[in-house]
Amino acid sequence: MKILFGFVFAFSLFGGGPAGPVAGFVLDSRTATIRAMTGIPGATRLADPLALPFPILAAEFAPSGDAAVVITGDQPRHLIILGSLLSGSPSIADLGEVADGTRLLGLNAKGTAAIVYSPAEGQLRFVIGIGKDAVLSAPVPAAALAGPVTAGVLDEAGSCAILGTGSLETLCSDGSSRRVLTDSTFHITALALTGNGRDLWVADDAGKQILRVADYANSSSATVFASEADGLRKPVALAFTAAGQVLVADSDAPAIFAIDPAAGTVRSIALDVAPSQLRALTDRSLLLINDLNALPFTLFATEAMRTYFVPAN
Amino acid sequence: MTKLLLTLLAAFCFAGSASADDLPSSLQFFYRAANNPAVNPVSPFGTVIFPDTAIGKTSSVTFLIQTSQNSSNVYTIKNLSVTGTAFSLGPQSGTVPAAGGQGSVVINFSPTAGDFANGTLQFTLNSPSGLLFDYSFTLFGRVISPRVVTSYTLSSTNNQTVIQSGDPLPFPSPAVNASSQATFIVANTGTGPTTVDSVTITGEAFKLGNLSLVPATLAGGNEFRFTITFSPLAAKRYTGTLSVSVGGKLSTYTLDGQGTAASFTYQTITGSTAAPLTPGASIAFPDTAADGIAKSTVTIQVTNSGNADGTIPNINLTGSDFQLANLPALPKVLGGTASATGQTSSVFFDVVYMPAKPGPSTGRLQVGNDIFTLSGNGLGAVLTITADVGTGPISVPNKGTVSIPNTAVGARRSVFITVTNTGNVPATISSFSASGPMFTTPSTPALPIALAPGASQRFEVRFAPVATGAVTATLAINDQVFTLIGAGDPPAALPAVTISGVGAQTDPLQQPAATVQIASPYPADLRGVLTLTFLSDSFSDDPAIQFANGTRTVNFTIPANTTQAVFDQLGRTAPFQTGTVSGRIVLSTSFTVGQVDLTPATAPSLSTVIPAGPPQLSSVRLGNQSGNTLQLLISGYSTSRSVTQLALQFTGAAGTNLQTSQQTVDVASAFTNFYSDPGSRVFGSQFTLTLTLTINGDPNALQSISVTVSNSRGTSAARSVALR
Repeated sequence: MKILFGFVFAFSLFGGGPAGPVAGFVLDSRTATIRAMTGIPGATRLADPLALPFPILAAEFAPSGDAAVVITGDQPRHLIILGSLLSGSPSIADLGEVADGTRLLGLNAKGTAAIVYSPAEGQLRFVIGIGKDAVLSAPVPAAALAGPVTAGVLDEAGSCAILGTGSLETLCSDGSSRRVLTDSTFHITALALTGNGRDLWVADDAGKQILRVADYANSSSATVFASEADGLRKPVALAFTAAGQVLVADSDAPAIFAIDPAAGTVRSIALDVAPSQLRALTDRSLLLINDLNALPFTLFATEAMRTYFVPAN
Repeated sequence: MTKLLLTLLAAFCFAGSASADDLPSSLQFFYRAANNPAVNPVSPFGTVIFPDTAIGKTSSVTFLIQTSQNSSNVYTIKNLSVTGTAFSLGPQSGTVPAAGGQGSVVINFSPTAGDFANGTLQFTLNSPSGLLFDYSFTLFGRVISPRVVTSYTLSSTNNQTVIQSGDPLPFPSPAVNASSQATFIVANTGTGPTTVDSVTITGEAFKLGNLSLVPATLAGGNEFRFTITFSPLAAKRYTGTLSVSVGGKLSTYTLDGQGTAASFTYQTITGSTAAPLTPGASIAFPDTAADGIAKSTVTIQVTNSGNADGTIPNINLTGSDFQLANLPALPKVLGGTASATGQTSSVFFDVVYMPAKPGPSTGRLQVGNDIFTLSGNGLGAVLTITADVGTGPISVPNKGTVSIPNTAVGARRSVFITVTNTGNVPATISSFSASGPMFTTPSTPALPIALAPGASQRFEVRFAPVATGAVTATLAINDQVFTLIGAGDPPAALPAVTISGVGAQTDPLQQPAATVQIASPYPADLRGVLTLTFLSDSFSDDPAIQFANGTRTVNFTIPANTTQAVFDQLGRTAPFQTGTVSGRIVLSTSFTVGQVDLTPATAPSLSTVIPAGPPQLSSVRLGNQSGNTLQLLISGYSTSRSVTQLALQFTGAAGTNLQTSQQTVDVASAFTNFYSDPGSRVFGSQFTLTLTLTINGDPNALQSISVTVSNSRGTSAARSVALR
C-alpha cells in the first residue's frame, strides 16, 4: 500500500494563470509564414504570422509545439531551428546553408532530432540536439539507396532514418544501412513509428495499401492492414490516435481511414476536402489534414473522429 | 519710117525711068473704101489705109489713078502687084484713061492674125510714049480682133491671177461645211468682140454662181465674171473641172480644193504603256487600294490628227472617285496637220483614280464632245456590321447606334453582332470590345480573326443592366465605333427568403452551416451578403464566431432561375463557428440585383442563442513530468466567461491508497483577471490552465486525475488524464 501525503499546486504558464489555448503552429505556405492556431476544436482561429526575418519554405514542428525546424524560402536556403514559438518571439538558430530542393523528412517522436534529405546532393543529414544546442551532422551519402527517398521517419534515438526508397531501408548517421524489405515495388508516401518505436507503418501509394512492419529493426516482413478493397486509393499520410488507431489520409478517396490494429478493422471517415497530411498539433489528438491553400480542416481524432474547419482568414 | 521708105523708093523709080512728055505729076492717085464714098488722095509712096477689118473678114479699097484733064495719054497699068499676106488684088481697070480718066485697082484686105497688116502696092504705068513710070504705095490695115484673158480672184486674197486653160485653180482650204469662193474673169482685152459660149463645171464640191446667160457677147474691153464656190463636206481633197468656151474656143481648168477639219484622237498612257482610246470607250483603271492614300493615274493624250486647228473647249469629269489633274488652260487650240498657227497638236492631262471605298467605281470623262466611261475597282476590306437585338439583323453604320430593348435589372440580353467583310480583300478583326460595366462580350473568339471577302464572324454582346435607367456604352470593332443604348427596368420583386442551418439555440463550439433560400426561382442572378452579428451576453465579443472564410460576412449568389444561395468560396452552405461566449448570433441577408437593393425593409434574418452555462473542458493533457512534479494542461471554455473553482479527483493505481483523493482550487480571482485582460478576448471564453502538481510520495501511485471546473451556473463534465 502506497500512501500519498499531499499535493502542492502552482499555476504556471506565461506568467501564471489561465491563458488562451494554442492548438499548435502551422506553416502558411500562402504567405511563407508560421502562424499559431489558437483555440479548441470548433472555435479555432489562425493567429497573425510570427515575425520572422525570412520567409519559410518548409517546417516541421516539435511535438511540444514550441520549436520547429525550418528551411528558409529565400536563397540561399538555410536550415534553421526556431525555438520558443509560444513566446511569440521565436529564437533563431541557423544551422547553415542547405542545397536548394532539400526536404525535411520529419522529427523523431521526442522532437529532439530531425532528418533532411537533399536529392540534388544525394545525401541525408541529421539534425540533433533540437531544444538545446542543435547541430547538423556530416552528410550521409544516400546514393546507395534503392531509389530516391519518397518518405522518411526518424527513430526515437534520432540516429537512424527509415526511408521509403521504392523499397524500405534504414540509413543511420554513422552511414550504416539496412534493407528492411526486399521488395522494391513500393512507392512509399508516408512512414510512422508507433509509440513504442518498434513497429513501422508504411503507406504505399503504388500498392494502395497500408503495411505494418512489426519490430522493423529486426524483421523483414510486412503485414497488409488496409488495401484498395477497403477503399484505399491514394494514401498520403499516417498518424496515430491516443487510442492506438492508425489514421490514413487518402487524398483521392477523399477520406480518413482509421485502422484498429488490434481488431484488424478499417473504418473510413468521408471528407468534403481532400486530405494531404495528418500533422499532429500540440494536442496530439488534433491533426491538420490539409494545407492552408484551401479552407483548412482539422481532425479531432477522438472516438467521434470529427472534422472542424479553421476559418481561412 | 515706113512712109519715108516708100517715098524714097518712089523717087528712085521716077529718076531712073521717067520721060519728059509724060510727066507723072499729071497723074493723081486716090483710094476709096468699099463702103465709104469718101475719096482719099494718096501720093506715090504714100500709104493706103484700109478700113479696120476683123480677122476672117475682107475689106476692099479701090485704088484710083486719074489722069489730068489736059492729058491725052492713056496709060497702061503694068506689073501690078501687092505684097503683104493680108492683101490681095482684086479687079483692075488695066488702063488709065486720058483726060481725067480714072483707072482702078481693087485691093482686098483679109487679115488672119495680128493687130495690123502692112504691104505694098506696086505697078508700072506705061505711057503711050513708052515711058514707064513705076509707082509704089504702102498698104496699111488695122486688124479688128478680140483678146481673151482669163483670170480669177480668190475671196481670201482678192488677188487676180491669170489662168490658162489646163491650169489648176486652187481654192483656199475651208473647214468642212464652210466654203471658199473664187471669181472667174473672162476679159476681152482685144479690139473685137467675142462670145462666151458656155460655162460648165464638174465636181461635187464646186458650184457656179453669178453666172449670166450664155452665150454672151463680150465686147473688147469688157469682162465676163462668174463665181465658183467650193464647199467641202469632208476633210479631203476635192477636184473638179471648169469648162469655159469663149469665141468657140473651149478652155478647161482644174478646180482643186481641200476640205479641212480638226480630228481629235486619244490615247491613254499608263506608265510606259500607251493605248489608243476611242471616244465612247471605257478607260479602265488598275485596281487601287481604297485607303484614301493610294491612287492610280492614267494620262490622256489628246491629239489633233485633223488638218485644221481644233479647240478643246472644256474637259469635264463626273464620278467622285476620279479627279482631273494637270489640265491645260482651256479652251485649248490644237493645231492640225495643216495648221498655220503653229499650235501644238497634242495636249496631256491626267485622270486620277483614288477610290474612297472598295468596290467598283464609275465615272465619265468628257473632252469637248467626246465622252469616255471611267471604271475602276477599289481594293480594300470593309467590315459591315449588323446587329440583332432579337428582332433580326439590322445594318449599323460606323458611329451608328444599336438600341437594345429595355431589360430588367439582373436579366441579360444578348445582342448578336455580325461582322461581314463586304470588301474585296481579306480583313482582320483585331479588336472587339464593349465598354461599360453593363456590357460584356462573352465567348469572344481569340483575336485577331482573319475574314475572307464575303465571310462573316458573329459576336455576342451581352447587356446586363445593374441599375434602372438608360445606359450607354461604346462598342469598338477595329476602328469602328458604335453606341450601345440600353435601359434597365426595375427588377422583379424578391421572393420570400429563408435562412436556415441553426435552431433557436445552439451549443458553443459548433460549426453549423447556414443556407439561404428563396421561395421561388428568381429570373436573374441575385447577389447577397449573409452577415453574422453577435450580441454577447458578457459584453465581450468572441472573434471565433465567424464564417469559414474568416470574416463575419460572406457573399453569395442565387443564380438566375434557382432558389439556393451559393456562397463565395464556400459552396451551398456558409459554415460558421458558434464560439465559446454566450449571446445571440444573428444571421441577416441583404440582396441586390445589379446595383438595385432588393433587401426588404426588414431584412431576412435568423438568430440563435448561445446559452450561458457551466464551464466545459475540452481536454486535460499531461504536460512535462519531472520527478514528483507534473503539469496538467487543462483546456476548456466558459460561455459566461466565469470560472470559479477547479476540482481534481485523484485515482490511485491499483493497490494504492491515496491520502488525498480530491482537491478543489479557488480559481475565481485568476479567471476574473484573465477574462478581464483584453488579450483574452481573442479567445472568447477559451482557456488553458497549466497546473503544476508536486506530489508528496510516490508519483507512480497515481493512476489518473479527473478534473472539473465550476462557476455559478454549474460544474463541467469531468475530464480525466491517465498517468499510467
